[in-house]
Amino acid sequence: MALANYAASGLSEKTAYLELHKYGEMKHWKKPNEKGYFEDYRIHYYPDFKQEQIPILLNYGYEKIIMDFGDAYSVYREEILRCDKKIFLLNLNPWQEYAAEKTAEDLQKKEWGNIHPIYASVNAQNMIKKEIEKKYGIQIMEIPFIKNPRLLQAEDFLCMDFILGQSAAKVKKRKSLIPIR
Amino acid sequence: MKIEEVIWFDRYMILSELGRGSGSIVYLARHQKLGEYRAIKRISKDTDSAWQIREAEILNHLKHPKIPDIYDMEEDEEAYYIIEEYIEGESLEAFMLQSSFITPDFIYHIIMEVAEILDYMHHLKPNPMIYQDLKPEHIILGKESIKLIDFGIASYLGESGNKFQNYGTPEFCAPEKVKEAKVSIQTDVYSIGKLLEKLICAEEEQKSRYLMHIAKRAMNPDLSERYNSVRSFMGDFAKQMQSQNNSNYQKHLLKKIVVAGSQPRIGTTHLSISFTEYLNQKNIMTVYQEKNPSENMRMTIQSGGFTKEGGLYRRGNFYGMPVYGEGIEVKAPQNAVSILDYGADIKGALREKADLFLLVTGSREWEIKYADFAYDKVKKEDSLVIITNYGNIPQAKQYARRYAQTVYCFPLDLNPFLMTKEKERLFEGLLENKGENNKKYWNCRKCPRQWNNALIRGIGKLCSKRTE
Repeated sequence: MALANYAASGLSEKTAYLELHKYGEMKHWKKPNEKGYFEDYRIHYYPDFKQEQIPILLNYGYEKIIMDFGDAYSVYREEILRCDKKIFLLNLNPWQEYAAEKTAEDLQKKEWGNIHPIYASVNAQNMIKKEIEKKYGIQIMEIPFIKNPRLLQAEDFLCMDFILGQSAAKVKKRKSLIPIR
Repeated sequence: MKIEEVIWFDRYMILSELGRGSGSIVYLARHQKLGEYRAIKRISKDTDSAWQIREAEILNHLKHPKIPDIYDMEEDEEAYYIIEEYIEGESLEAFMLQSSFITPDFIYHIIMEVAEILDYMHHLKPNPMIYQDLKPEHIILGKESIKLIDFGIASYLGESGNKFQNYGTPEFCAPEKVKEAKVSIQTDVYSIGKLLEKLICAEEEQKSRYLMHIAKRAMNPDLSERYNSVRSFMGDFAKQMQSQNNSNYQKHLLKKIVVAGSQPRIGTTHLSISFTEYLNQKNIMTVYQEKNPSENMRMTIQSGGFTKEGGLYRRGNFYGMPVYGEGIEVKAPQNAVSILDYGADIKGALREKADLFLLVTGSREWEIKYADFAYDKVKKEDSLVIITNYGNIPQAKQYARRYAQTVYCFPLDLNPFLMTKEKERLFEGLLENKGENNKKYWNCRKCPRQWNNALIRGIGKLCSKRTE
C-alpha cells in the first residue's frame, strides 16, 4: 500500500493495487465498483483479484501495478517472474527466521531462474540479518517502519525511491555459499 | 627601582604602569592574597589632588555593575592612592579606529548600555548626578559589558541645576556648557546624542536617517527641543531600532508568496521559479510549491538535473516541491519562504492567506480582457502586486494607469533558473516596494545593463569622449 501510495501521490502515476493473496482484506474496507475496484487517494484497489484477469489489466494503461501476493509466492511464480521489480519481505524475528530462510532458499531453486529480487525487512535484527545474508549470498534491505502507508512522510521517500526507482535493479548480489541445485 | 619588586600596603604587588594623567599615575597591581587584579591610582600631593579625591568619593557612592568599584583609599607622605577595580578591555575610541565591524546591532548595545548608566546616575537619590564627560575614550568594551570610566568632572545636581565650569571634551560638550549656562541632565543627553552620531557615521552599512534624526534631536541646542531625559531618548531609540530590525528582516517575514496568473500559460511558473532562485541566492531559504494541475514542475524534474532532498527537489539554488497527492505529507522546511504557484487558479490562490500576492498578467491585446477580469477578482487583496509579462513597458504603464496601482514589468527571459541583472533588480524593487505611492509604474530595465556587448561598449566609449 505504501508503494502504491508513493507511486500515485508521490510520483503522480496512474496506479493499481491488486490483492492476490487469499486473505481478502480489501473488500472489508471499501466496496468495489462494477469494474471491480474502488479508489482511494488516486489508487485503484482491486480486492480478491483473479490471476487470469492480470493480462487484461495490463492493458488498462496503468503506469504502476502493485501486486500483493502475500505469502503465496509459490502459487504465483509465473506472475512474479514477469514483474519488473520483485520485492520479498522477510520477517527476521527469531521465531520467523525459518520462514525467511525457506523463502531465500526457495528463490534460489532452479524453477525460479536466476532472479535477483529485492529482499527487504522491517526492524531486522542485525545478527539474524547478517547470518541469512551470508548464508544465501543475498542483501537484505532495511526498510523504515511506516506508521501509516496511506500518509507517507518525506523520510520514507528514500526507501520508496530505492524500491521503485532504477537503483532497485542495482542491488549487488553476493556470491552464494550454497550451490544452486 | 624595579616596579615588579614593589609591594604596596603589604598586599598589592605592582605589576606594571597602565597610564599617566595630570599629576597621577595608574598602576596595575595584584592583590597578594586574593590574587585579583587592581588598578591603583597614585596621586601626588604636589599637584591639585582635590578633584581626584572627589572622583574617588563619587565612585564610592555609585554602585552599578557598569561603573568601576572603588575598593580602598590609602595615603602616605607623598601621595594618595586609590585602589580601584581593574577593567580589562579596550576603549570604544580605540575600537572605532581599528574596527570595521560597527554594525547597527553594536550601536544598539553600546548606546543602550551607556544610556542605562546615565539613567542610573540621573536618578540617584537624594541628589542626581550628571556625568558630563561622555566620549568613546571613556567607554571600555569589556568581555561581558561596557564600563564607563573617568568620573573626574561628574557632579551632583542641585534642584535648580548647576552652574558649571567649562571643561570637558569640546567635541562632546553641550552648548549650554560652552555658554556657561546651567547644566542639567539634558547635558548628558546631548553627549549621548553626539556619541550616537559618531557611531552612526562609523557604521559600515547604510546609515539610518531615522537614527540620525534621534541623534540630532538629542543634540538640539534648544533645550526645549532636546529630549528631556535619557529615558525618553532610550524609548525612541529602542523603538526605532526595533522597527529598523523589522524592516531589515521584512524579506524573512514574508512567509507565503502566492502567484496567480490572469490566464493559463501566462508565466506564473517562470516567475515563481525565478523568484525562488533569487531569494535562495540571497540566502533566504525559499521553496517553490506547485499548486496547479499543469504538472510542469514534475515534468521539469523528470527532465533531469535535480537531486531529491526529502520531499524537495533541488537544482543549484532552486528548491521545488511538485504536486503531491493526499497520500503524501511533505512540508516545506520551517522558516522557509513558500512560493505557491497557482497558475490560473485565482480562486484557489485567494483561499491562501498570502503575505504577498502576485498577479501575473499578459500584455498582448487579446490578453488585456483576462487581466481586467483577474484584477477585478483580486483587487481587494492587501498585498497585491501586479506583474506584467514579456517586458512590455507601454502596456505595463497602461495597466498602472487603469488600475491606479504599481505595475512591475517582468523582462523577457529565457531561463528561469538563471538569474539575470534585470530579474534581480525587479525582485529587489518588488521586495522593497519601490513602486509604492510615489510611482505607479516600475520598470526593471532602467538599471544599466552589464556592458558585455562589444558594440554597446564601443558606443559608450564614444559617448563618454564626446561629453568630455
